[in-house]
Amino acid sequence: FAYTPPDGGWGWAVVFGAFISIGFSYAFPKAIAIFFKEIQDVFGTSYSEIAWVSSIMLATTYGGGPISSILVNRFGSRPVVIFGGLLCGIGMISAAFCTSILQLYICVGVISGFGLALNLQPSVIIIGKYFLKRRPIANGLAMAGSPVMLFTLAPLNQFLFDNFGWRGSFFILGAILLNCCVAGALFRPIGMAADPVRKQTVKQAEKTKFNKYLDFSLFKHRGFLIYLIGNVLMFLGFFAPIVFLAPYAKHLGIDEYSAAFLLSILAIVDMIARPTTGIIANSKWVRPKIQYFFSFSIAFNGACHLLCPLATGYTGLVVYSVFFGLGFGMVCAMLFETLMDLVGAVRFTSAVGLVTIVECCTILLGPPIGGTLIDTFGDYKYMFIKCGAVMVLAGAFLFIMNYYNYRMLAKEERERIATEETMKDNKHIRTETEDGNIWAKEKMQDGPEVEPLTDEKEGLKKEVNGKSEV
Amino acid sequence: MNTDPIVETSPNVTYGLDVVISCNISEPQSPITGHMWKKGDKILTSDKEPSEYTTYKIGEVNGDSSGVYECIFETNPPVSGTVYVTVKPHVTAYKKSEHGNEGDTGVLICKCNSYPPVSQWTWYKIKSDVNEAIINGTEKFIIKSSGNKAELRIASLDIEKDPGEYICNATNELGTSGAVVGLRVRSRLAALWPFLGIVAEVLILVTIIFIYEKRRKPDEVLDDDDGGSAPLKSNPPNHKDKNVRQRNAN
Repeated sequence: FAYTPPDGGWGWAVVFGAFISIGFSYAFPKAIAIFFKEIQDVFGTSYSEIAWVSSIMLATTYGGGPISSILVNRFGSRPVVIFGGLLCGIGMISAAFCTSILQLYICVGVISGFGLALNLQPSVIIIGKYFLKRRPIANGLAMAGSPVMLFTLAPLNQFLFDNFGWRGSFFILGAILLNCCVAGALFRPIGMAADPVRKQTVKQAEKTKFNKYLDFSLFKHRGFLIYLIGNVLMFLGFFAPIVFLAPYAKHLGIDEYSAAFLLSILAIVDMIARPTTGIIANSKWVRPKIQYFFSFSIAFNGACHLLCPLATGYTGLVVYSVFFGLGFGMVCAMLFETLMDLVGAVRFTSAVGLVTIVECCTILLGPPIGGTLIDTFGDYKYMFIKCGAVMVLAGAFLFIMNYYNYRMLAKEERERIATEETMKDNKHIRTETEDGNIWAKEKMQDGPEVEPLTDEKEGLKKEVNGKSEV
Repeated sequence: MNTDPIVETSPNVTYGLDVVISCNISEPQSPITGHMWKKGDKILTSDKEPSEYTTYKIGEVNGDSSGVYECIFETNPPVSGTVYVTVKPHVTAYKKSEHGNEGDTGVLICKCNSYPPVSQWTWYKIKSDVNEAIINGTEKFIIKSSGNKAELRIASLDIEKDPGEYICNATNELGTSGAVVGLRVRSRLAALWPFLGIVAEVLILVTIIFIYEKRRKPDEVLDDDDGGSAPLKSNPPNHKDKNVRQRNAN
């Protein structure tokens, strides 16, 4: 029932598909802002009413995480992503015919947003199924889709708008989003063929059934909880600086195009930083302690924000944008990799859904809180200080807690080896030593790509994922 | 006997390429500590000279330089005079060429920021023989005008009749002038061709990917970069396969 992930071969095609899917999921809600002014005029709404379209889309994409996870647990990544692509397409095509802002909320925000949710999570999940030794690189490359797609979609949207108007653009964007189906087609199921749900004894079924669809036992998993708390905290300060970078620049007297260029600098540094971080994170020095590297990049990001108020001229802001892009890329490249590292690829399917729905709240709260700070004090620096402080705090929290976690895991590992020596069990699993690293957690099991869980395998799985009950 | 100070100003201007306006104060009640020139709320220049005479160079009289200029003598209390620089309306279009989709509403916008402000806006459609005046308040045309901005909204754009050039005329005390705005109507189906093209691309790619996969299926061997592992059996119908993989097992 276990197999070795290929760490290459068709895996690179999967990475490319994930690149596209992830790219659309993150970049699309931001890129459609180009159409907002026109739609605002046509429907006669205020700017904040229009901005809700993006917020609803983002909220649905993150909030739909658990549903995405359940569906992937049941059907595998490929059908879910293809269906997601169809939803995105249908959503945008319908949006082209909308006659009110409410209809736009539904078509663009909810339908397409949910389609993106069905793209984002399965893409990240399937990387974990195809890669193990090179997983950080694969994650870094796939996550680079976001800045690349944003860089491409922004001018493309402007071009479409100039030539076809907003309705024609939405129509064409609907077709473009159908390319997520192409990405989905690349997500070839791996391992053994999916079975229909196997017949289990009634007792087993009751015990494992709900957990099979969404693994709530994760909330007792020490590593998962550490990740969850740290990330929820981090997201309070993660996105606000990007939202306010251009307005801050204009506030300092910089012209509109130079202000927009700062975001381009950020995106370019970001797209280089992500795969590079993946490579570094994959190296034999960093990978065993990848959680420290992750904590460091969060704190680094926070430090950038804390120092930003010191930048008073355009040059200062350019420097800030470069370092911000670097920090942002580093964090994003490892965002899912570290979760996989903590819970293992199998439980990751459920973990990613649970994490995204909880993060959903803070992601949505971050920019408005920042905006309130700016309006109250009339000064951007408090927003930067708040974001920087929150992220440094999150980074420190994760660093300390993961130090504790690493020690506990090492201790549990020693205990487990000791009991193994005394056990005669021909199903026991040996730890793998490879390049001097030891990580025993990563046996590939289960999920619909492989066999569904049975009770005995459940027990084995618990053993493999570490004695992770807190 | 106290008399109020009198400020004499140079005459109001409506034309000129090298215009200088000036103010002259007679019988100031207190020492003059400086001067200031303002246009509306904006301070143009200021100085600390004590002279009874102050000038400001406008240069060319045009839409931008037109307005209400105030010269202020910094006495106690300050005393000021006003010079009006007036022109015929200087009208510009927000966009020289507007686009609209068939069936949608097209919006043409003109603005005029010169002084004195516009008292009346009128719109015309340019036609080969005589320009056709556009009447406000019909189902088809709605004109919204407000001092320095005028909007012409054309409902249900017709690709045959509506495209072309429109004139917005602005009138004030000194006369009338206008600007030309072009309107282009996109066919409703304009977006259809790229749409179909992309959908075709998606279908072709998906088909190719699935065909490629089916053809590889019988003898599929997953590449395994860490050599030495046995190939996986792909999609075996028998899920009871006891192919337990162990790495570096003894």
